[in-house]
Amino acid sequence: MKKLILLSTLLAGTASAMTATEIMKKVDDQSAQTMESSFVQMTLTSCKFGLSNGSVRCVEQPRIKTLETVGMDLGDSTRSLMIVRQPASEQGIGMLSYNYDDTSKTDETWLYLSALDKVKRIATGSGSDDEPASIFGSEFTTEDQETGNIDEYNYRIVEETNFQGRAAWVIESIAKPEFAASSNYDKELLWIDKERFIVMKGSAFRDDNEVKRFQMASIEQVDGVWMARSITVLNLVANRLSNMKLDAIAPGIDADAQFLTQRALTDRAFREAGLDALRQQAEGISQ
Amino acid sequence: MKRSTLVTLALCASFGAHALDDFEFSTEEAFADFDIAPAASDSFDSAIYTLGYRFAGTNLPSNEFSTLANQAYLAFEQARAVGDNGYFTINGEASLAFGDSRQDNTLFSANTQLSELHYEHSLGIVKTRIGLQNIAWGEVSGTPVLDIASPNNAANYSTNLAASRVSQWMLSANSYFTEQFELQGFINLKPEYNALPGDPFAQAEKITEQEFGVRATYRLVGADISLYVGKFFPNQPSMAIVNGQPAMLSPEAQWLAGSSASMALGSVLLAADSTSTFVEGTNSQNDVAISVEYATSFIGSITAATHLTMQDKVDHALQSSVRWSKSFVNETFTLSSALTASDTELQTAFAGVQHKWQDSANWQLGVGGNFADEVQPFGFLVFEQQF
Repeated sequence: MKKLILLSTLLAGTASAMTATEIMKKVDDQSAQTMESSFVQMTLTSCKFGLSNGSVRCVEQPRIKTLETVGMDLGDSTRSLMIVRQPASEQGIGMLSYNYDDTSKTDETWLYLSALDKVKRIATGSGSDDEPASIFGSEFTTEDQETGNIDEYNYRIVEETNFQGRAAWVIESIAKPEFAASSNYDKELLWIDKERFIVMKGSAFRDDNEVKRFQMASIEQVDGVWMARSITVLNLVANRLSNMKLDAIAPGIDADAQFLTQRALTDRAFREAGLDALRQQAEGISQ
Repeated sequence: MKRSTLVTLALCASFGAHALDDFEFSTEEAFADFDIAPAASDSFDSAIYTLGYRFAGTNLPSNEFSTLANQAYLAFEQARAVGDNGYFTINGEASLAFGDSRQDNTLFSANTQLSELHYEHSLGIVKTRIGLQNIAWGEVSGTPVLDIASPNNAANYSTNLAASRVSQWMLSANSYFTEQFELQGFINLKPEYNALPGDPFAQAEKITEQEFGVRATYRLVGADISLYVGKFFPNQPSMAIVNGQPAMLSPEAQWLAGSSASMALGSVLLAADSTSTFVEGTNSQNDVAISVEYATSFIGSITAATHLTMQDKVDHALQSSVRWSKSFVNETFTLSSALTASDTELQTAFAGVQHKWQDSANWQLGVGGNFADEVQPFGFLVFEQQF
């Protein structure tokens, strides 16, 4: 799950004389540890934003959803299940995603339409002209959940700087020509914490314009793993933002891959029993 | 080797990026003014109430106006887990109708209607559901005529016909054999016909024959495929294809075999349904429907669908629809249009708009006309507020 990847991570590391690719690999390796299986309760807030005294603020009443998500790394793919808990009018709507490491396989996403008890496949976009689907109407997209391959990108350390009081690398990421069609950006800049190996900020560009900005906040160490409990994406084209606030995180849960199938969408008793078991399990380990 | 940062995030459009000054965004600061973290509910115990009003009218060929629907209603919906393996759902409405010009000497009439009332139980690899429920087999968007099992309900008017169903009292079961393979079956002891536009209070003729079917679904990487067979009362098309009247295949259940498939190709979703209805004698019917849905965050979602009906290789009917929907943070606009034709003659035309606010309030406005004999315009208006 990209969101969980975004939560990443670190355990200490030597930051000296690393190449950009080595840095990104370390960020990736650390985040993978948290991705093996997890249960997260989150609040997803979206609004149109404006600038006020140098700060970004919602200029309208935000739209708020609470979700529960389960994620698993199966080795050759990752699976995630997201279920809406609130508002009441959307309770039970669910989204299931399979993301394959094999780039020849198209990632898959299904949405559960509770009124018709029907599962609908969603076109998530994978080509140069395609765009991924929004996650429950937010500025986060299904592609946010995907894990790309480090080998598909060229990295370069642009500068070493101080960001929000922490030593950081600014790393430029550009898709290799043969993989450029699958990237929606011409270029990205990532602010990586030198000590914690976690992404603190990101900027995505197209045609030399910054079109999206990502900001991590509330970075905390949970069981030796650094995580950002608040992730905000600003769509600078549409002036809309979404904030993903992780209310409870339970990494390392004992989940069954069989739970992350379409049955969890259409068999509601099965789903509730499975989620209830995960909640009980998470109570002991969630932060 | 996975790549784990913010790399594959999408964007809206490649032009007009807003210039954001070089300041540092603080999430906490941005949301300080809002209580953005309501407590998550551990169970589905919240009831949903909807207060609404709907009006529909038509101008009859005799040039006389007729009110088809003039209703205020309160809908109620609740769903919750029951025990370790059960799940209960209820959904219905109470309405007060007034000014219906077809109901002489009646100023007001009260009605209650259940849309869903079912209990489902999950045990082993099987989920069973008993009660008033919807089953929709078919993948095509926009023209849900081939979404069989629960017939379409066009009586109350809606810009989203696919979501309007005549719920049925059924016993259904799903067996999840593997992650890829699923079998679903149902039996309906008291089936009803689909409801056609202009009959808000029409009680469908009771059918004594049973309806049943089985569907097998297999999920490949990149595509979902289903095959189904059973004895059904097929949806009677809302278009007229036989002597200017809505087609009525037969008052009896017919054997039907069908298939459906959906496949995602980038931002395009392709779906296809086909059914063959076997009627004794020569009156067989074949239906084919396809839909193409293209979705991007910039333009929203556009769905184009076509449904072709062929009877006896003589009568043909074509139903085409285009639907555009665009969502913003708090609201969604949807424009719908549909045309039906029999052979080369236009039968019906419809255009509608829906505006939803945070999925809790919406209004719909639709206009259209029947052109089978004389021009017969119709229109409808719906307001709904959820609380």
